[in-house]
Amino acid sequence: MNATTLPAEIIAFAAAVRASLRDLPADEVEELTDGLEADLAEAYAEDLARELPDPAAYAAELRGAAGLPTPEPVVKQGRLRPIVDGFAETLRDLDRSLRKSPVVAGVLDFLVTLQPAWWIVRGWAAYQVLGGIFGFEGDLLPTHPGYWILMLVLVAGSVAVGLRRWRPWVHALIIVGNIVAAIATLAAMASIPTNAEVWQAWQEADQTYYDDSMAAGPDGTGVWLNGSEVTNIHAYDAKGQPLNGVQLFDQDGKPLATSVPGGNGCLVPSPVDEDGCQTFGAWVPTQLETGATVWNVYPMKMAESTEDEPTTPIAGAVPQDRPAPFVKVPALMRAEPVDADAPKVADPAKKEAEKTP
Amino acid sequence: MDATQLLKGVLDVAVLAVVEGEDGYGYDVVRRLRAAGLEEVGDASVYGTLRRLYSAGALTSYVVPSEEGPHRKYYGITPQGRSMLATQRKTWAEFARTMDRLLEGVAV
Repeated sequence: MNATTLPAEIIAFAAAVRASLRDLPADEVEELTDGLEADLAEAYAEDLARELPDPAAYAAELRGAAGLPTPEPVVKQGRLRPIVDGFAETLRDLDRSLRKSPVVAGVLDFLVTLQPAWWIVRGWAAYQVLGGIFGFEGDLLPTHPGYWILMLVLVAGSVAVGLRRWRPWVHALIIVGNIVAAIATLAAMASIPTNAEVWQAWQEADQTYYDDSMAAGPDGTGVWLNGSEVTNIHAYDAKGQPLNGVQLFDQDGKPLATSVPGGNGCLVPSPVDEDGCQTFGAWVPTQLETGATVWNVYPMKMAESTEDEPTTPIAGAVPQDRPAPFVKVPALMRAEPVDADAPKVADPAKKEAEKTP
Repeated sequence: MDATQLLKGVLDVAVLAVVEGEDGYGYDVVRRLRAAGLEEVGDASVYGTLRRLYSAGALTSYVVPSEEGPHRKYYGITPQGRSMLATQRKTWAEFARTMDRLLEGVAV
């Protein structure tokens, strides 16, 4: 018997008829349905618009005409049964009405040939769902041999499920599973980054790297002079003498903090290597009378630290003065007295105005 | 009155008569019955009837392999089938005459 010339739906229909007769002895079913495919195929070929009837009703007619007993009326188990049956019936009706168009029928037949590919995808989707539930392997394909085996087992199981013909309620479960698998597949596909997204991520990574390398310290503060990091500030008074404990603020009143608390943490530079460091040091902040710790009091002192933790002074380290670049700088041309009761410096512009009548 | 209901009672004799003329397979018998005017006859009813007549010994069956498709199961009439057909023909003829007379009488 050469079954390849039979339309798939006739094979399926004949199988469904036999399934409806399964309460009869096997040889009786065989006798009753022997040649059924040939008869159906001929009828179908003669009238393409012909609709295949409901297999169960067809089987009942066959059985009745043959004088065989009707089966004990099956007590429909559960409330789900009508839903399952109705669902299956709706699918059959839909299939029949769609197939009235030869084009649609051709497309459907083509889709049926793609079924095995779907079974494989479904197995893979099951792997993704399990991976999502149990939290292993977020990747599209397993990276561990054990997970490869799990995925292959799931794919094999999916194909095995696809190859068998199932009872309606199992079939309904399979359809639900298919929907879940389709959603999982779409979700997994959506999680694959597009080229544009990969490019964007690279750009952002570059930007972050750039920003980080430009940042003065871990807290994002810093003072820069012509592209070089300012690590300490030495102030001199009007007479050119070094000042201690100078609190600096910017134009907005924000503390002018240099590279703190990390920054250039070298207490004693290496005598041989220009960029090397012999003894590491941590900048030491200053305590205000309010109890606040501030980083804008200059010149800042440094305490010895270690290479491993350059920003943390070692226990008992005494804050040391940093060498000033100049012992003394030239005094101003007119050193103004710093006394509080000294007369206010006149505005030069005002002076000019006074001169002019 | 539904013709399919009437058909149920006479399908045996109709099928026997068709197969007596020439051996036939399932759909072939259906086609000949429909050609003869029994257009409402159902495939499955005919196939079931063939099977029942075979079980009763009125028909023989043999399988003919087909080159281009599934094999066909042919049915032929047995001597027992012929005598069954003869009896039923007589029964039907009498029954039909009775019914005709009855229906004409009522109609007139």
